[in-house]
Amino acid sequence: MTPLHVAARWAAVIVVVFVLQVGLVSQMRVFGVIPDIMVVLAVCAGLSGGGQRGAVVGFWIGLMFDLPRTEHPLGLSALAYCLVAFLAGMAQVVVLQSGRTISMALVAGGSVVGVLLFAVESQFFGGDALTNPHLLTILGVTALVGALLSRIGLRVAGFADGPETRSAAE
Amino acid sequence: MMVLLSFTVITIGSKDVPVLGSVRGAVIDVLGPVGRGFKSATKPVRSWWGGVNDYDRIAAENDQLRDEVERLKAKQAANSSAAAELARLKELEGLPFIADIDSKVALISTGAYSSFDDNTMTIDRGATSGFKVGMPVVDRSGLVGRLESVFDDRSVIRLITDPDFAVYVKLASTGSYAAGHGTGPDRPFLVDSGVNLDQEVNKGEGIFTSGIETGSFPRDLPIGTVTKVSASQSDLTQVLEVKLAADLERLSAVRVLLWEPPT
Repeated sequence: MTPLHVAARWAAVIVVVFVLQVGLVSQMRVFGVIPDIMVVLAVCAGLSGGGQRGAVVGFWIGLMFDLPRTEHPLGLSALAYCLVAFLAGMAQVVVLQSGRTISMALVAGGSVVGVLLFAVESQFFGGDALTNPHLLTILGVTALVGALLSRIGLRVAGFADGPETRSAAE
Repeated sequence: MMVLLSFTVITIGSKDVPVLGSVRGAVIDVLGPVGRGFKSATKPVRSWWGGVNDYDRIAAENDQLRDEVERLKAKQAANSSAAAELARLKELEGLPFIADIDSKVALISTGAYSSFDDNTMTIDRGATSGFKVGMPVVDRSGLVGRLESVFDDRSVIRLITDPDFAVYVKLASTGSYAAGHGTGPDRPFLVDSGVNLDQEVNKGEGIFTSGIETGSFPRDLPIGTVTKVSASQSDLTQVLEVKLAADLERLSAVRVLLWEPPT
């Protein structure tokens, strides 16, 4: 697959997941928390495609998610998801050498880190995400959703990356 | 490089560049129908999910509502005379809250997209309906917030629960002025400036917008009722916890007052 094909696939995947997030997932709260499937996709992008590609894809995932959220400065999620996808890419080797449980834990942990990064950034830019009284619940639900969606997330990321870079974690 | 790019976007985004505002507005305009489409298509699933996820609360709420209906029936007769008296008082005092402020109804098109977006809501009308940034938004019970961003066919409301949402208020019993602000979703509105220790404030006291000249709202929009009175940490003033009059959990429609603060 050419880089253009990969970019086109990722663009399609990001748009579909974005529409699911804002249209469907945002209306189905778990313990009062809106699950964040965008961060799960960013982590899976890193785990599947490696640090560099993960950072690029994570940036676009975050930027897309930032667009309708006027409560926060544009680019906060882009930075958080770019960093967490890059970090997840660093752990790609671990995923390649381990089983499903480890990759599930990595997606869950990575998603939590991504959300936490966003909260820290938000606090720096005058928001109140880090002092949100439900932050622990939000992180818990994020981990749960990350773990549950890790398999499908890695499959989707593997599809977008193409057969050459598809990780063994799928 | 992507980190650098992210910081560039954040920097540009925080400068209120019109192009970015237009792009965000276009995305919000597009997402409105998408959200509504998903909402109606997934209603059965969401109802089921709501029942599963929130069964205990719904059952308790049903019991509470039944009690409330009984109580209201009993009070109905008494209220009719009270309403007549209230109408006379309003007529006498000419309260601006019921004066002829032009307003338009708008439907909530989308709520939060993530758990960190609980301080804003999007409505389905915008500049084409005459809406402007800063206009007050109310529901049938009281103040909901103000318009923060206005696009062609959508507007974003900054909710009264936002910690950055500050408003000059007036205490119903004494008419004295103070300042209050939101403290986040599911938390009480706080009036923590301007209420002296020697001032008597009781639970249940009504809190309204002050309408003072530098204020952002017309007079006498209901904000809520006092639920707790305590001394501030400095022991110089009182801090009032206020239960909001507006039910932000169940908002489906709001009324935007076509009112702008005096310049």
